[in-house]
Amino acid sequence: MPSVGIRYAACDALLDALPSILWKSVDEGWVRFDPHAGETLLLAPVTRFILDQLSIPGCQLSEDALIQAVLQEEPDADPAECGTQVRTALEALLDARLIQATSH
Amino acid sequence: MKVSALSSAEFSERLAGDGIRLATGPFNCRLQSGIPEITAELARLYAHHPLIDDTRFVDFHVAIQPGHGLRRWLRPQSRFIVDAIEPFTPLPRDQSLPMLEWGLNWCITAYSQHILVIHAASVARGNRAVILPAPPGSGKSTLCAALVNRGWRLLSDELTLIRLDTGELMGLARPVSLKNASIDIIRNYAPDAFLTQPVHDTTKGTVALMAPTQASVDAANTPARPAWMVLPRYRAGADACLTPMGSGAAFLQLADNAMNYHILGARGFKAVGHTVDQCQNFSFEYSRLDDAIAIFEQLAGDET
Repeated sequence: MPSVGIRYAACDALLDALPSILWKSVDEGWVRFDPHAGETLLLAPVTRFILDQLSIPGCQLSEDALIQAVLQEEPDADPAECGTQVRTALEALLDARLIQATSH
Repeated sequence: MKVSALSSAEFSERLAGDGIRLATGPFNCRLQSGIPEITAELARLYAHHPLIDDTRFVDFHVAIQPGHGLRRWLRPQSRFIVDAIEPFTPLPRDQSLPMLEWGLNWCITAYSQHILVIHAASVARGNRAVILPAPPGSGKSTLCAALVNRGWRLLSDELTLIRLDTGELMGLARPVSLKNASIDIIRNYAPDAFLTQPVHDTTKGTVALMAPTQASVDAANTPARPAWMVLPRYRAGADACLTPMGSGAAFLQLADNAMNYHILGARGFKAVGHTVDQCQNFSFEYSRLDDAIAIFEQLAGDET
């Protein structure tokens, strides 16, 4: 469960696979296909946004920083709702083992 | 020349000898069998299929033969053989016909990496096709058989074949495998359709095979464009109801049911994506076949 004091970063597998990842836009957001892992995921738009934010080698971001990044893209969004969506997205990405949480 | 042009004696002689060479859509098969009791029903199931001459390339050389040694007499068995290999353990001899169909499906799935193969039924009206992917027990084959007996063209009841270059569906027009209660349902729904005698106690329960319609076989080489992806589910007492499905959920349904999606890699991903883009996607609940057929007729009529 995401919480304060934790930062999130891409797993090595995510960074290694970046050049070969295929994306398709769908009604619900994006389908992500990793041909090497043979893994297909359906991601909400905010989940892909967060994944893109973290897909930079060495980048580590807190939940608050990710919420701010989303609000910067969508200034009219409700911050509380945005926070819920970011937490849901982080859980999905952790479950998919695309990102990892580190304590500081 | 069609299989039906052979006399029963000629059919039996060829089947027990060098084999019956016939085309099932894009695949040429040579069928051999040393089990005479399947001959009459096999001839009916493939009556409309075209015979091919001996010079044509054959994709699958398959045979259903009796068990070895004592197994000819003690609880007799059948063996499925493809290109001199036996990929399965033998089955009871009375399961010879279903075994042949399961074996042919296995051949297509195992050897066809030039097309996307989806575990789904598919039928067409004109040049537009509906893909019906669904888990066993969902009523997929029952619905498929009902549609075929109400003017839809059978592409396949088990394996939907999608060309990687054009995205078109290719027809197989092979027998429809009906299970358990659906056998009597289709017997009553389509009394003129030919169904084999039920085979009991298979791994799938009781199984009977329904012959494809002549129109389906005659048009097997005419490709169809995927126009609808419908995920059917039989629920007793339910009113027939189509519910739109997002293209992402539809993508996952097709990918999950594709037999070679991961083997094809990027080509499989693109083929599934292209198919989803071409289709209107729905989930579908039904209980009464007439209501279900009416919904599909409406679907087909809405776009004309």
